[in-house]
This record gives sequence, structure tokens and C-alpha cells, in this order.
Amino acid sequence: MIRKLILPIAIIIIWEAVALYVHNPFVLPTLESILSVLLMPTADLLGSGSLLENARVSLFRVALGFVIAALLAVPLGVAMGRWEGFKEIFEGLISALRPVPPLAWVPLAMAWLKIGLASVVFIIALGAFFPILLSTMQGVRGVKRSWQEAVWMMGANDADLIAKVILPGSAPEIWTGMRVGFGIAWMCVVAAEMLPGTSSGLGYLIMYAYGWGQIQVVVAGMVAIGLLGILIDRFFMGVERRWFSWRARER
Amino acid sequence: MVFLEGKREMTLQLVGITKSFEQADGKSLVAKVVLQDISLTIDDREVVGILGPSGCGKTTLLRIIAGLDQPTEGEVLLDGEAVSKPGARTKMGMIFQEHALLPWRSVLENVSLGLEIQDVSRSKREEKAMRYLELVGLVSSAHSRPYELSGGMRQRAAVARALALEPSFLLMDEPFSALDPQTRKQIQTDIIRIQEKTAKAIVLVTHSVEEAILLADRLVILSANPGKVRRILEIDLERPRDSMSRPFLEMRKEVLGLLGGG
Repeated sequence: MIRKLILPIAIIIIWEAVALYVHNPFVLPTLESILSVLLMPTADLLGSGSLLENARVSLFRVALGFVIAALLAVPLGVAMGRWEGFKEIFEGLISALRPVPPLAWVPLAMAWLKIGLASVVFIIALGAFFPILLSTMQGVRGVKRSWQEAVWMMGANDADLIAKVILPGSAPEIWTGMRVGFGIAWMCVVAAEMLPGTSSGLGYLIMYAYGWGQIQVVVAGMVAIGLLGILIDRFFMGVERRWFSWRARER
Repeated sequence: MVFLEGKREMTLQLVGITKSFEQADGKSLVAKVVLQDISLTIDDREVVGILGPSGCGKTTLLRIIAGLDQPTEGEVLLDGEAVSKPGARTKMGMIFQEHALLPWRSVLENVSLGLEIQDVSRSKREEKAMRYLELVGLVSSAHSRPYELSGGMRQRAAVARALALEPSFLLMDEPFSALDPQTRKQIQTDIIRIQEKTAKAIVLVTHSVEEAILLADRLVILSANPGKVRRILEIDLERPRDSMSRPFLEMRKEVLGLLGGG
């Protein structure tokens, strides 16, 4: 336990020491100033809403993009994992698009969808799409033949097999894909919000605060972003432990 | 507990089953015949053992009977109807070598899965599933997950699952080969008891001569390359069979002799 605290405590001490020495809040704000922002999450910051408000906006955007990505990626992943024909049709396009970073799509997104919610959600969905798709495909292919045959012997048709064997059997992998996808989506939303055109959200907030030299808001914003990312990741892990522990025992 | 519900007698017929694969032999494709012209009739309530050296295609044969694989020639008829028709599957229950229970479902949920697919109501299917769990002695494990059970218990659950849809035929593919000898002996005894109680026909693929003689009424001995019926032996030893008794050991000698010449 002590070992885990060494580094954080050291960082806090060094930060505060350097901040006091440098004595320049535009470069290194004191921990006190950062903390005062964090401890009043509902206070309005620079006229662009509070920490909580902007967090809510970012979360909404990421949730929307994520859900859209999942609704597209899971069925496609099941189809590509189950039927070789499907895989052959789509895999060329997928492997071509996958290496393109989601943020590289920003100009195109703005050209197609104009500045606004649609283009931001588009980028987020793109970011989450590929990990979910790939994990779904892998999960489906990993579903044991013997499970499928055993259930087929009980009179199951294709729909039964998918509902009762393939989906539950690949759920752990799909969930992992969603966890990774969410992580990427969260990074995308923050980055997308920093680009011109947005006027809310945590990414926007820290960029705006920088413009006003309020670096303590920048750092506070970063802490908030990191905290939310961790919390949501913990949620994914919690569900995995509760529902998918069978996967580990199976191995 | 009534299991012998007045069922119509059913027959399983194998007519000229041949199975060949194409294999690469150097530059050309050669047909490798795995099974050749196998014909067999299995009656209701019979226990038929299929024995043969490795590679004789006995698992392939069982899979063809189950409808999991298609023969290259010939057909399998259940009660006169081709087994490839959807309705036939539920008249046969299959037990695999590795239990193939779904790990995310409890034992009870696994056993009642077949009934779930048949759209039986929850209370009815749980009741039925419990009956069969009782028969195999797993009532106390009903709500456990498969990974919490020992190998022997998992196979029992697999048996209960196969029985739940009340098929006329049970197909078993070396179901006990992964178990330790003690557990294996125990479950063999249980299978005999279950078979008598439920009057199923069983087609058992095994490579244990003892197991085959212990359980079967008839033994189909296959030769390898290609898999052909070498001999069909009637096992008319009295039950309960003692694997140490004279008649048993003599039968074993005979069977080993037939296998050895493969």
C-alpha cells in the first residue's frame, strides 16, 4: 500500500515546490488553485459553464457515438465472424479504413456534416467502431464448435444458435471490445471538442481556459477527464467480473 | 417417477453409408475412403457398441448418424425418415467426449435448454429438468455452474441434458474416456441403471473393450482403412455383468482378437 503512495505523494510535493519557486500561474499553477476548481464542480468557469455541466455534455456525446458504433459493429461482427462470405466482402474495406486515426476524419466530417453535434458524434462513433467490430468477430469465431453442435442437436435453428450460443458465448470478447472502444471514444470526444466549432464539453473547456491563461482550470479539467475515464473503465471491469468470469475458468 | 411412457417403437437404419474425403497426395487430389458401405439396423431399447482401432471412422459414423456430418453415399433413416430432416434431431440425444455444457448457464439451465428451444414453459421445463437431474444424481448441483463440477459430474449433466428431450436414441461418442478409471466405472454402472429405467436405445462409440462388453447388447466391430463392418457380435452375457467373470473375459478375448486383425 505504501509503495503505491510513494509516487503520487512525491509528485504532489515536487509540483507544489516547483510551482512556488517558479511563481508563474500561467505555466505551473499551485495545487491549491487546481483543487479549488475541482472542489467546486458546479461553479461557472469563465462564463462557459461549470465542470459538471461540461462533463455532462462530453459524456452525452460519447454515449451517443458509442451506442451508434455498437449498434453497427456488433451485428456486422457477428455476420463476419459467422459467415465467411460476409467477411470476404467487408474485410478489404475494414482493413483499409482501420489505420486511419479517427481525428483524421475531422475535416471530412465537417465538410459532410458541418460544425456541430453530428460531426463530433461521427468521429466518436468511428473511434469506437473498429475495436468493437474486431472483438465481436474474434469472439464469434472463438465460440466452441461443440457448444453449437450440442445445441443444434436439440433442434435449434440458426436464430436459436445465435441467440443462445453465439451471442452469450462471445459476450465477454464483445464486452472487452466495447471497453477498449469506449476508451478510444473518450479520447476522441476530448480531442474533437478542442477543435474550432465546439462551444461546450471538457475538451472545449480546457482549450478555452488555456486561451485565458487559466492553467489551473486546464489541469483541473484534465483531472476530471482522467477521473471520468477511469470510473467508466471500472464500470466495464465490474460488469466483466460479475457476468463473464466463466470465460476465465473455461480456459 | 414414470419414464417408460408408452412410446412407439423406433428403428434407426444405416443404409450403405460411405464417407470419403478428398486429400492432397502430392500434386493430385485423392479420395480417401473413411467409411465404406456400412449398413446396420438398431432397434428400440438396444444398446449397440461401436468398436474399432483408431482411425476407423467410428466418430465420423456417429456424427453421420446424428446428422452432424453428411455421408458421401447412403443414408440414415430414423423410423423411415431421413435424419437430415429437422425433426429427426430431437429424437436423438448426443453426448460428446468433452461435455459441451454451456459455461455461462447453470446445470439446471443447461439441462432445460432443449426444452427451452422447444418453447416449453419455464415451470414445466424446470420440473422436467429436475426429474432428470434426480435420475443422474445431480439435484444438489442444479444451480452450480459447469466449472464448479468435477469431470464425472459434468458428464452426468450432459446425460441429463440429452435425456431431457426424451429422445428414443442416445448417441455417445467416447463419453467417458476423459474420466479417471474410478469415476468411469461409477458412471458406467449409472448408465446401465438409467438405460434400464428409461429404455432408450444407445449407440456407444468407445475404444474400451471392457466398456463395450459391459454395456452393449450388440457389438459392431469396425476395421480401419477403410472403415468397414468387420463383425457384429451378439453379447448375450447375463446382466449384471461382472468384468472379472469367465464368460466376460472370454468374450473380451474374442473381441480383442477381432480388433487385433484390423
